[in-house]
Amino acid sequence: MTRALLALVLASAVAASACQRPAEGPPVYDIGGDFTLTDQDGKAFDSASLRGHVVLVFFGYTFCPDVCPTTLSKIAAVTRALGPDAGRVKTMYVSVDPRRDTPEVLKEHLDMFGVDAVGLTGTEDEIARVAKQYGAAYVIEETDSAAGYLVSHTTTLYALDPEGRTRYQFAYEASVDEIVAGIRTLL
Amino acid sequence: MRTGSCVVGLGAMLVAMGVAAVMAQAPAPAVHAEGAWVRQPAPSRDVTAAYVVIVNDGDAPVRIVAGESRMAKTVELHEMAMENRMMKMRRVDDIVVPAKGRVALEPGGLHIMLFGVQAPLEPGTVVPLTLRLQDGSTIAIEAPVRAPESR
Repeated sequence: MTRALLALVLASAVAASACQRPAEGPPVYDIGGDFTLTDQDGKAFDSASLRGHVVLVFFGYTFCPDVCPTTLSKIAAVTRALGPDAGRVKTMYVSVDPRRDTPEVLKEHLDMFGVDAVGLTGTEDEIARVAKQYGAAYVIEETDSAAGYLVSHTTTLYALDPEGRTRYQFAYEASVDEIVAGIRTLL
Repeated sequence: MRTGSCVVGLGAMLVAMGVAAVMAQAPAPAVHAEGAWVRQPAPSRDVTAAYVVIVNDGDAPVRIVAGESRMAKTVELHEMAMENRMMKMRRVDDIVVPAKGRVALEPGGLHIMLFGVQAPLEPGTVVPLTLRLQDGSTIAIEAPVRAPESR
């Protein structure tokens, strides 16, 4: 009990130091920011071009047939739940597997899920830089599986407000309702 | 607090499942599969995952050690787990289904990986799967393909 409380206090302290609380709404996290990567059409994409929209950002890879589709399906459900407001929400899917995730692969993958998302890839250095900006982490692991290598990665779903500031970090377990409620505070 | 009630809920569910298993008086075979499905892969991908609940009505635990399918080149048992804040996928050697218990292979946890699947796997396609147990017996599974939206 004491230990749980201590953990809570520590977590709160970390959260307080990492963010500033605006007059209203959720805190502004000291992570994120603009970047340029290559989109699913093979063009340079500047994240600042989404200013004015609430933007969902997550890191994943299309080879991963389990968790990443689950996140995409969840985003599709969030979009449906938002109804007419969905037009004011965009999604950026940043690949942590640029070796396999070419623009063509990303395009096909996103089309399948029917999510209005920008699929982003780049050089390994570019991806590493963006992941670092967001405090996301990933590790490429060679395996004895037929998969060849697999990528372990953080599963946080970030929500940016229309000014491009990071306002929410949803855990993998966050429900569609939770995410929708969060987005609504930013619209 | 939330974790506590969740544990109690799970306990109650397990007891209910145990009761149900006893009441069912398991006809042979003791191990069977329920609710199997395969995730539809992207058109150019030949890799996907299959999910199923394995129910063991028997008095002894069983160990799933391998899988095969005539529609996939390689079938492996995999697991997702949260480790150091990261979601990690890894191959597992076996999956144990406890006596009078069940194991759910579901998104975000244990699952069956299918490599080199024969395209196209479209919603409605039924993928035949065989899981091999340590004692040499098998579980035959028919897993229909589901489109991503339906999950």
